[in-house]
Amino acid sequence: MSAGIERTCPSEDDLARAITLEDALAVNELAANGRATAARASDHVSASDAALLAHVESCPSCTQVCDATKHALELARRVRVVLPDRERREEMRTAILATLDARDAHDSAGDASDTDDPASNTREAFDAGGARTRSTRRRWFLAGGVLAAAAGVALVLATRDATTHAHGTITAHAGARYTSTRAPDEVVTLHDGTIDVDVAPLHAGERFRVITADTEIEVRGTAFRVVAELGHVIRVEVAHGRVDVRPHDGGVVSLGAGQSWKSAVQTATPSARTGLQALVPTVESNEPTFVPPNEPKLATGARAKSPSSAARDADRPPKQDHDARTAVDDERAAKGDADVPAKPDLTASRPASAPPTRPLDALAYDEGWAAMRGGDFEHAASAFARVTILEPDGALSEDASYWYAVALARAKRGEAIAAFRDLLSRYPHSTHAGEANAMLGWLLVEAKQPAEAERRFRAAIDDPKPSVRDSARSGLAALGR
Amino acid sequence: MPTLVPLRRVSGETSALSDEALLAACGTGDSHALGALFDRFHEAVYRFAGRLATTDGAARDDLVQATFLEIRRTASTFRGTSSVRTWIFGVTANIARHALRSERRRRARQARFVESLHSVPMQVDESVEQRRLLARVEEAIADLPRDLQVTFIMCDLERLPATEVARVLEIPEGTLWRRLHTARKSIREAIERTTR
Repeated sequence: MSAGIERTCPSEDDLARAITLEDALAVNELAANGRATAARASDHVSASDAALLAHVESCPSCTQVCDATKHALELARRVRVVLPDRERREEMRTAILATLDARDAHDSAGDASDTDDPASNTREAFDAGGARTRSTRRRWFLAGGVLAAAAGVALVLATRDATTHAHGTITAHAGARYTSTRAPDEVVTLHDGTIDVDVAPLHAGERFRVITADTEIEVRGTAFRVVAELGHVIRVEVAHGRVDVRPHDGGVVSLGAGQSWKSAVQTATPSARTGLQALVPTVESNEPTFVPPNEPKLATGARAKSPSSAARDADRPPKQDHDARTAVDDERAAKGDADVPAKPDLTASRPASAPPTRPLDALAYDEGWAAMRGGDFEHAASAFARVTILEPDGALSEDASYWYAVALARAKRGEAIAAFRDLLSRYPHSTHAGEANAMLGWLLVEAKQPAEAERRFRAAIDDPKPSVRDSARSGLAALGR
Repeated sequence: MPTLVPLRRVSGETSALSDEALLAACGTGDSHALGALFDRFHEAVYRFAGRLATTDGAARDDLVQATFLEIRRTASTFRGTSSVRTWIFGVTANIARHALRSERRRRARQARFVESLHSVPMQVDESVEQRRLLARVEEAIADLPRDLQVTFIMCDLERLPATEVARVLEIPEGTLWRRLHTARKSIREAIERTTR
């Protein structure tokens, strides 16, 4: 069938459509017989499309646009996306199915879980998929009942009973319902009731988490209590160690010894869930929420204050009661300061405390970022260093170590080389490792240390980020490698 | 005495089912069907998510996870006006529209602090130039407005039928072609600037 040729150039929309048509035909032709043929006017192309294609082929300006676009598409299709390995894929699969299992268990208890607002549901879906925190670690939340060939799952209907787990002991109060998985990534899903958890210090690669439908609590060698109702966390109290509380609506609250976190809503009703979402501020992963030192930000489920009352409260020293111990109090207590309130006794029935002030390492982290934004890199380096001193094993330490090194490099301080080396030594699998290696490589080139520079560039050459790969290859090229 | 209820993963029975059948089973709350859908489409969704959130692995993982959770919730709304694959990409695109907006701003803010530390090379050879070109193309795609980016990825990179993409994105076909034209033009211009 011969096609007529359009005399006038097509509209932008039609030209876009023509390019897509040509692309699809080329794919079909190659798939059919491995070589391009002149099958422009095949039976499945309409007469108008055939005329459009014939014009594009014969018009110099349209041909130019078409060829340039095909070149762009060819390049775009060559851009690599690194896919997860099998282990990560299995983790993701397990997390999704287990989350749904927990939700189903929660929903069967009678709560409605969906609103009529599609946008709200979409945000909830994203948040439920993995609310992000400041930590650079992986941020799944895994519901209990993990369905994997390698892990067994047990639904435990407990009377008051202490159960030994791989990483410690869970003591469930009467009527508590929870599910748990096995080490190394032990996850306890608390459906209802109260459990006391005592976790031994974890080794590299091990994790211990307690999750509910709306919150994830991660621990690192600690004793704490979690109270939940119908899948919603009501209260978390820490006896010793450190616990990160991550509501699925966003944010992270890091609790130290003697601190507690209480939801503003004490009963889990559909409106309560909305209240939880409204009261917990959204804190994005690696996005520092800068809080000036004299304006503390509420990071818990407490009732929000007016700005003026919050500012007034900021100027007062923190309350010294049993449940408001801070990291400073712990240090003072360790030195025998008798004025520091005693740590709470979790075996006794106690009312939950007022929300704690933000941890000192978080404040230092925010201070560092404020200084970075202001271009004061010396100050930023000092603040980030303080984070790693205050909480060397804290959730912010790895990130702060990286930005400490970056701040030193931006300040053109020679200590940047040692800082990057130290970061990569302590956190070889950090998500910043590629960038750190590339930046260290360039610093070493300037310092005339080509052997180590080459090693650092080679370590960065397969980084997922194209800019890092590009920089590493440029570095090797600059070294003549 | 506690009652122990062991749960086991079941696999294999779903392999003979079509995508549509699996999705329909999902809509009834069948977790095994969702697992099978995950096995079939996980890589495609991850690749799509990776193109939308290129520098943050956690954001990609979150987006993939959220996609399949949302699939379970909305599976019963699938009407068969597109392939299941296209429909799933539409779910991802919808979630990304709400969720990754602020992530991109955060990335951009932090990236500028380290960009200047990647120095300019002393010598440039052809292979380095080619890699630089690919990097520019990737940046050009990442810098596209979200609507253009999603349309470009679905139509030109994933090669999904344009009519189906228009349906799942709920836009007229004319709008889809306009977006494609604008996206392609941006990328062409980025290439021209790099090779000038």
